[in-house]
Amino acid sequence: MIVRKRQTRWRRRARRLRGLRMQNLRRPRQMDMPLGEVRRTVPQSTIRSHAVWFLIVLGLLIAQAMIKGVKPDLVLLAVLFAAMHRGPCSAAITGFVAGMFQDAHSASLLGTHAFCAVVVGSVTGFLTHHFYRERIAFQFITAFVATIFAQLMFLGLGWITQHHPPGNNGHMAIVARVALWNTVLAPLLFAAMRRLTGWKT
Amino acid sequence: MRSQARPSREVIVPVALALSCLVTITLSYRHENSAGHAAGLMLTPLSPLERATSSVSRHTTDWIHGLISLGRFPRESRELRQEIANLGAEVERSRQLEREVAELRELLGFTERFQSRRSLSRALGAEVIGRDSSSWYRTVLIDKGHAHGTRVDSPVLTHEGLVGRVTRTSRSSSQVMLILDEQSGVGALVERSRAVGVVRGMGKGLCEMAYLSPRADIKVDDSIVSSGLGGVYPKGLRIGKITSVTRDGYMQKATVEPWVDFSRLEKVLVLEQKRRNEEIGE
Repeated sequence: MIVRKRQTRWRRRARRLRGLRMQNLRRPRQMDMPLGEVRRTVPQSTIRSHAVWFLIVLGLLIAQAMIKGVKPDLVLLAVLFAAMHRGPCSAAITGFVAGMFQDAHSASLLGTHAFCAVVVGSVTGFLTHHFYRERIAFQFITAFVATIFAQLMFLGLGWITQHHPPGNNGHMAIVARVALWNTVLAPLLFAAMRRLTGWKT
Repeated sequence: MRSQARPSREVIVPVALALSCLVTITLSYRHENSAGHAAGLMLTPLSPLERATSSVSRHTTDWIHGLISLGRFPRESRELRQEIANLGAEVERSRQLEREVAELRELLGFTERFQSRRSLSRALGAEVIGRDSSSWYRTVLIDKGHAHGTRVDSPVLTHEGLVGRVTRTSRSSSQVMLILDEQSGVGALVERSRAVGVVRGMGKGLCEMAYLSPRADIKVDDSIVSSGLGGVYPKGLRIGKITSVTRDGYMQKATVEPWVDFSRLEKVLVLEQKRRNEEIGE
């Protein structure tokens, strides 16, 4: 009888302690802050995952500059990953920064790649919000459609600004090849990036 | 009371960034020079990383190639020794010819202004550390910038022939537009018949020589060199050889295969701008 009483007391105490711990986790520490002010602390894991994300995008930018001939648009794949996992805002920021560097690294007008990446990234972020994004078929389709859309937008901007990419013909062949590259690489890269950043859909 | 729906951050940020991109495009379209400087600044932090990556990948490739070609070493070494012996004889003969030419020139009272300037000019050695990040343009990134003396429009070549010209420079790296790019036009002439035209890129590793007169004497396998017209490239740089000739309306067109193997471009020479300006001034 006594043993059972002790057990229930310990259980109660443990439950109370667990509750307190959960409260501490949920609520930021506000002891030294004035009333009414709430400090929003950024967890270490978020900072780490964002630092990893920065390194991934940087690595993809450099890798893209190493490949010869018609190459996959790795930066766009990174933007699509951000759109699927973090939403349109993150995709737009990633697309803007990486796209600007891509423009600096290319003979295109400054801002052209960035514009395509921002638009495609944010549209993908808005549209893919309601889907189960870890399905491979979905990743294939998204990468293919988004790449074609981005490449055509890039060509359109080049046509408007009279800054045509080289070659009078064969543009569609290049668009198709880049799209196929991206479609094949998308599931592999997405899986790797998911593992590295720890971002869940 | 009517409630006002405020647009969320997820709408404002993408729209604001898209608008800033459009502004940047407009500015870089109107002020190409300033945009080039801005792009150069953005290239600066990336170039050390690219140099390191390029060096690592080159060493790895060399190591793998070395392993593969281990069995061919004795035969190759014999061939190379033979080749060195032949080249030595060749060098001796060309030195003799050079002396003879100099003597003949002196006899003719020929002023060697261009020749002397060529010897004074500095050709800067550079290494290719990256390629265009999109599939649309034919540019490469080299590891020498304006701190080393490269300027926009400096001609770039290898021992095989003309590579292109510098289009953007940062402190420690420069972007080179290859002659394969359609936007790069090189004033050129057929070495044999002196027919003049313009060489521009076609993509797929080939160039075309356009604006050739319908009566111009051109044949397959004719060698093409730069004409020096336009002021960017000096005269006499080897470009490529003609592989086919077609008639395009009243003009003739020729397909040119460059001497330079652009898929294996590693080391290049950048000619200093100073010499070119002097020549134009002359």
